[in-house]
Amino acid sequence: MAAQTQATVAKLKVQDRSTGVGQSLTRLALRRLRRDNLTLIALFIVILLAFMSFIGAPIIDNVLNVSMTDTHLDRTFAPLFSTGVNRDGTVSTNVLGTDDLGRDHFSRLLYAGRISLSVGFCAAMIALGIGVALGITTGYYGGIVDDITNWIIATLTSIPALFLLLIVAAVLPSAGPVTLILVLGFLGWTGTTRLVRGETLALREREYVISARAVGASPGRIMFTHILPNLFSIIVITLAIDIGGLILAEAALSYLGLGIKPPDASWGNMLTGAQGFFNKGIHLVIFPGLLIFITVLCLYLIGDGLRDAFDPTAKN
Amino acid sequence: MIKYTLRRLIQAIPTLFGVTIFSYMLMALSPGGPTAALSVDPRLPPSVRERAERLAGVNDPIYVQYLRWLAGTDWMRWDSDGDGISDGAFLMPLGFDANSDGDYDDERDEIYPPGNSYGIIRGDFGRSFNTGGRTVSSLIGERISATLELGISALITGLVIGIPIGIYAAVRKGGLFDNATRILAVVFNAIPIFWLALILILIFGARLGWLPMAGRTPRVLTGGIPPIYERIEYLILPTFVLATGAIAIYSRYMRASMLDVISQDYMRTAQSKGLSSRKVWFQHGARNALIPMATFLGPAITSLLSGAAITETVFAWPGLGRFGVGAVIGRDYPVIMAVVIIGSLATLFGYILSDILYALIDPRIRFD
Repeated sequence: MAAQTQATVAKLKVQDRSTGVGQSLTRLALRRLRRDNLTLIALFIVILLAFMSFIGAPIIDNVLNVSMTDTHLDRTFAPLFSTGVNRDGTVSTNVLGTDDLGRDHFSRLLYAGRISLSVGFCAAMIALGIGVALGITTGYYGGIVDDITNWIIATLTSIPALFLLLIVAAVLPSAGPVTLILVLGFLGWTGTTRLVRGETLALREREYVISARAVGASPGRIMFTHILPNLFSIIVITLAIDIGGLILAEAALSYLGLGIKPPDASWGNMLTGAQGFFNKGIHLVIFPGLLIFITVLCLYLIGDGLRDAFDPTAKN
Repeated sequence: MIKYTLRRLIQAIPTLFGVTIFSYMLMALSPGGPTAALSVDPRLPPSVRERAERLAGVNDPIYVQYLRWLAGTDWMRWDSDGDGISDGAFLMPLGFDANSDGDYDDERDEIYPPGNSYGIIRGDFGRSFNTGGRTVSSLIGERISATLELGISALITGLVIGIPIGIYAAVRKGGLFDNATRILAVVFNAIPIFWLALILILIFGARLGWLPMAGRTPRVLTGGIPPIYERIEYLILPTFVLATGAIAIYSRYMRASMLDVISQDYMRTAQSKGLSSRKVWFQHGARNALIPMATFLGPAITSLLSGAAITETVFAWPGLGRFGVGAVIGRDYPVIMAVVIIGSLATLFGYILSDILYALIDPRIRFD
């Protein structure tokens, strides 16, 4: 780590001399990111999916005359690009066919995306908040708080992740999106805490932190203005990867019938009982999983891309 | 070495207690408490329900309930005056003078025998709520072999496929194979495994008909489980699905470990001695690169167990994971607790085993 940072400092000095302007690591990272096509495509796909789900869904409903909730028992398992007549006489276009109750599959996928994406994102934000706050505090202070936190982390990580979610799901009376966000968020911080704690331990011994302490800066100020900004790259990378991991966790829980429950749709619970669709509508098996897969893959690629972009030893 | 092993075992004790405390507190927090499921019958008169609750001891302070659950009640009386209301005298030793007549072992004391549960530390998980009151231990005993079978075959598959991929990717670093496996590793990490399972069942089970779609054995009705070689086709899909994550992780880890080893001096020495590159790569390189893989056993067990809960559910594999999921849906708390604690025990055991393995291979670790 120290060697890496020295390399950065050396590089920045070189740039100072050549351009006359120093560049921050973040700006360098952004510049590298702009040339990383794979990461940009992944970012574009995630933004597109979010846009379609949150803003596009009602518009598409209106344009195609479809609805995620209206059932049409005369039109179950309709194939892709089929049309049908609604109760009010309008003609609906089921781009991705209909499901076992005749609801429009495309529309359901988009509304499910709202839930899946927001559960992943909000839970990751909570986990990240807890993880960063705890990691910095325990790393900076050490002592008894650190010991207790380590014990809690050891305990939580020795329960297999899904079992941990299962036992919490068993206890909760109902599992709406908000409950699920809280559960995933409050159980998912251990990895981030470890990472941030380790990094803080290293940063704490750095010269600028020691000099800040020497001039009388309070611990809070040191943690906020001297350590936190240096964790920026870790935080951004973790966020991208965490959102992906938590979308997978939500999907698995909902698939098992313990997360989002019907009639609310999530990409996970749309696959519950999918074996029953094998003969009638394969599209009902393929698309929800494909969307989970694409979203998570893109988020992982973004995480990887950010890691490369923030790597101080990378060539410019 | 024995000292090191002992130290690791002792270090695991607080964690194990943490697991039991955490899961017990969660269960106690559940709506209506853990006994709610026992007294849901609305026709039950309140007095009967109250008595059932008193007998179950749910009115005691939570730490008393926790201790009873943890350590059992056969060595203590927790209802010292015998009125059916437990009074918190949970640490009263046998032979306690219950009627306060100065005689520590008279007839009156005899009528209040100690409880008959052994507590989870002696493997007594109580009785299941939903299966006609069978003991949880016997229910678990019927299912654990299925989970072990699946878990072990997935672990072996992961190692047998993942390690050679890692070695070859490191040897041909930056080549086509390296890049292809790197992309595949990310892809397999991002696939939801239940969906992968569904797609594989759809292709190989429903469409091609090559492999069974679910289950562990063809002879469901006769009850017996035939030897594994007679039902290997049932094992193929679940094993592959469960192993994909392992393959992705092991191959990347093995590659990194191998690249570490390649930069070592002894590799250059071996090369300059004129050894064949096969000998250099495998005898000097891969063998040393395998050492850090020993630390992977602990995390491997956690992820295999998590994966097993999903895989077993999709494939209707009669193991612990599926049992646990069913118990959560049926709110069968004793079963949930048992599955969680057995899962955590297995994980802790895996972590300790990998530490010991590592210390055994690399003596420097022991003297930290």
